Amino acid sequence: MQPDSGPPEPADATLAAPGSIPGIGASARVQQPSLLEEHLEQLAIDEQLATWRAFAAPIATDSGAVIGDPELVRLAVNILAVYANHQSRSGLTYAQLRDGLRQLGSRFPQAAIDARLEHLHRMGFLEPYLPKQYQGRYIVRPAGLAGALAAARVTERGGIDELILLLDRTRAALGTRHPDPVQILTHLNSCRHALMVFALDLHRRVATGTSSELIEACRQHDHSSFTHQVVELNDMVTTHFSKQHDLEEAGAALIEAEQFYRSQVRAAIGRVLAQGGAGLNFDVLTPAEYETAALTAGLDELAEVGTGLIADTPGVYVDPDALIEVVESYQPRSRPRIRPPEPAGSDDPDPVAAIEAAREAARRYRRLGLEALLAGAREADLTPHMQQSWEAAARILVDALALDADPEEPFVLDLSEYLLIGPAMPVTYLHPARLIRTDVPEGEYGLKPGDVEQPGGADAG
Amino acid sequence: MQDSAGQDDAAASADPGQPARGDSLAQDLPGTPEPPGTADGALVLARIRAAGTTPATVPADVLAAASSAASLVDRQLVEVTAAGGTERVLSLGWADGAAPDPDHHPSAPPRRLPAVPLLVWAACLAAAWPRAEDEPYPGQPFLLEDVLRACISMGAHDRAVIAALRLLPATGLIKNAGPVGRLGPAAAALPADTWSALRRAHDRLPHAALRRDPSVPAEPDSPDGAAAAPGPAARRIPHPPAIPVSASETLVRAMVTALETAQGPVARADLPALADPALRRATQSALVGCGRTLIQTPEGSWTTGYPAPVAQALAAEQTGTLRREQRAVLALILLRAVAIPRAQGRLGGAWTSSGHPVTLEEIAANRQLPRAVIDEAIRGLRAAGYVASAPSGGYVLGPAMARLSPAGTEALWEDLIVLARPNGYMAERIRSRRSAERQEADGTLPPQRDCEDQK
Repeated sequence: MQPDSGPPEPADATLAAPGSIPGIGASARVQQPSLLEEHLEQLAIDEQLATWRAFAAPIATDSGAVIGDPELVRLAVNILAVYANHQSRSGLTYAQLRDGLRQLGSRFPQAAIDARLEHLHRMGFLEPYLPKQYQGRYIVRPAGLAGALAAARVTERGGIDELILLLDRTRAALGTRHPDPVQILTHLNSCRHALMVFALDLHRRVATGTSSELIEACRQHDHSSFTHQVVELNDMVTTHFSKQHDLEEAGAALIEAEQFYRSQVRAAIGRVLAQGGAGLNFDVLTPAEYETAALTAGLDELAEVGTGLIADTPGVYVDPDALIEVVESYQPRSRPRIRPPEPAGSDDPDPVAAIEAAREAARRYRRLGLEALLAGAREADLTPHMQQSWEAAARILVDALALDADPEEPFVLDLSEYLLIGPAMPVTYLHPARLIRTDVPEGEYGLKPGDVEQPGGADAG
Repeated sequence: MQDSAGQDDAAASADPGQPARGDSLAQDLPGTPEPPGTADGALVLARIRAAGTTPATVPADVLAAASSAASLVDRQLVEVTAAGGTERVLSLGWADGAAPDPDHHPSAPPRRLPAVPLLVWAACLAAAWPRAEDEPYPGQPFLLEDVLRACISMGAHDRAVIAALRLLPATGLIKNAGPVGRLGPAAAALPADTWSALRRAHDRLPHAALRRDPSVPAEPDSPDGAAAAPGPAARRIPHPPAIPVSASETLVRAMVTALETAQGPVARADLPALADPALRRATQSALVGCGRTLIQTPEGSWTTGYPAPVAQALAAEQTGTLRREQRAVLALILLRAVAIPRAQGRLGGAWTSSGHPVTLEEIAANRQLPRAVIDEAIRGLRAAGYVASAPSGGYVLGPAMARLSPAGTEALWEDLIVLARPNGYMAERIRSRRSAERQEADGTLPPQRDCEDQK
């Protein structure tokens, strides 16, 4: 059975994952605490120690038997973590325990740890792995485990877990097929005793406690399911032991005790509400409870907050000057895009145009040269002109090949395959060539070959 | 200066910052015997504060009481036509010659519109008031699309203009009916000096940007036809004839104006006269007549809010209350901004003015509320003043939180306790006490005179 206590409290840091820094590590992270924080921390330590003294009083021989430093209890809890993390299955030596405790962030010097380990050994918390003298490996006695965990728990929950445990055990005992009346009676009385102890403690706190003590008490005791559980137990007792008056009487007494306890819880809550309402103290619940509500509460539950809130905003103040200033700060944008003006002419030469012009001029000169060789005829034999010099032959051949390759030019070069050799000529060998103009029908030209200027000079031919 | 001897009883029950829980509204009002309808008159003015307007179907004595109380703080009731066109509603305007003075309280200036909403309202005003010689209110209906187009053409960002067109109806400066808008009752309630200045600057309103392109045909539902038949103009409710007022009364009126128009609590240095007990009582008396009360914040600043009985009456008739989704989102913001950091000991001071910002992602961590619902609710909460945007991003508690009375603040604290631990004895105790108070109120208080019932 789980107590109806909202979200679970955060686990003790000492039982966190291996490598985490427990206890003192958390306090070490706090930066320069104020005097108030130090005072509150000291109060919390005093409260812990008082709780442990009360917790250990039944089994202590004198008042000095309980430790005075909460870190020593955390050290015992850390020993459990060291055993869980270590690979050895045959116990640990003191040296291994020291190393493990240091890895978990223990701040104690070696001598103090050794002294504490020796104390735990003497008290039976640590037992030798083998029942031999002078052997140095130890394991934890399970009762020590229970003690260490209970010591940590009792400071967190103020012992309320024991009451929940008692109720659970009583319910479990009643749930068996043949419940033992003596055992049930013992459990019912134990529950009643525990409830009365808590009720009387609450009664004292309501009468004399401070606001923070009451808030802490309310955190621990605000479990409205106790009533339901106690009534359920009483019904089970009546069902199983209807003729046994002593058990029915114990059940009724338990209900009375619960009613007294509940009245004290309500009185404490009434005081907290009165004081907390005036101070609007959100410490009355844990941060985890608010966090849980923020994450999981539904729309209907959330919408119960602020049902009495009324909209309260002043009317808008309109400043005419500011209004006109804003209007004038926004200027209408021109919608149509205006084409930018043509750039002014530049003196910079256009290299592409210059190349094209040079190419056109070269083609024109070639055409004029070849037309001069044609002398108005449709065809002309270029061989005599080429035989004048190697330079003339090369120029005529290049011009004729270029225009022949140009599809826009109406010239065709016909190179013979045979070779004409003349050892006495300036050009000693060459292929005979003829130039043909393709855009003039045959016989249209009236000029004779001698009527036009001969390229290459008057001495050509 | 008012007679302080006659106000001792009122001051005792209406001590600033300490309103008595469960007191009836009539008990909070000053002076004995009080004129008939005074309490209901205060409730009428409180309704206008909460919702912007209230139906004009109010008994004559109540209307006279409300008008008289308003005149004591330089205000005047204005009767205008609601957006529907048939119902007449009351708004709270300014007496002749009276207007807020932003220089009077620099620590908490009046609520102003940001640049784009101001531009959009200027365009709305130009569209509704094309000729300076006409009465500006109610003006002509206009197409919201025209306003949107005009503002965009002037360089405003389209999304900002759309957001402003959503914001302005919440301020009451315009009222929208589908694609058509009109000037709202808050425009009718602007001071006469403001209208005079706007009339002088009429030619500088953005009329040019509103001119339609002749090539664009008019929409079928264009308000051009409706412009010929504008609604009836605003009517100022006559109040008792003005009498010469003393310097103290002038000071009280100025302080009430400053407190009521300020965006948040006003620093003590801005209102040094409130340190005088007599002037403080006189201010409180004037406020109580208007359904308001003087509140001193834990920091020592001054503000105003609803007295507990008035707030309870308004909540009972659902006037100005938050919607369900708005309350849910406010609860999440309160948990994140107040409850968790304070329970962890990270925050101190007055929690109603917590500046701890909450991001949208933190609010949306609750999967029960869709993001769109959260966005819409936050807009409403900002309009109601309970949430504000933090300069560093996120949301913080708004100035309306500081206007909560101590009883209202305590009720909100209890709501959060019940929410976080609904099955504890503490929640049970809070619920049972509230139930008992409700039953007591139902059984002992006289039936409420609701304007709706008297139609």
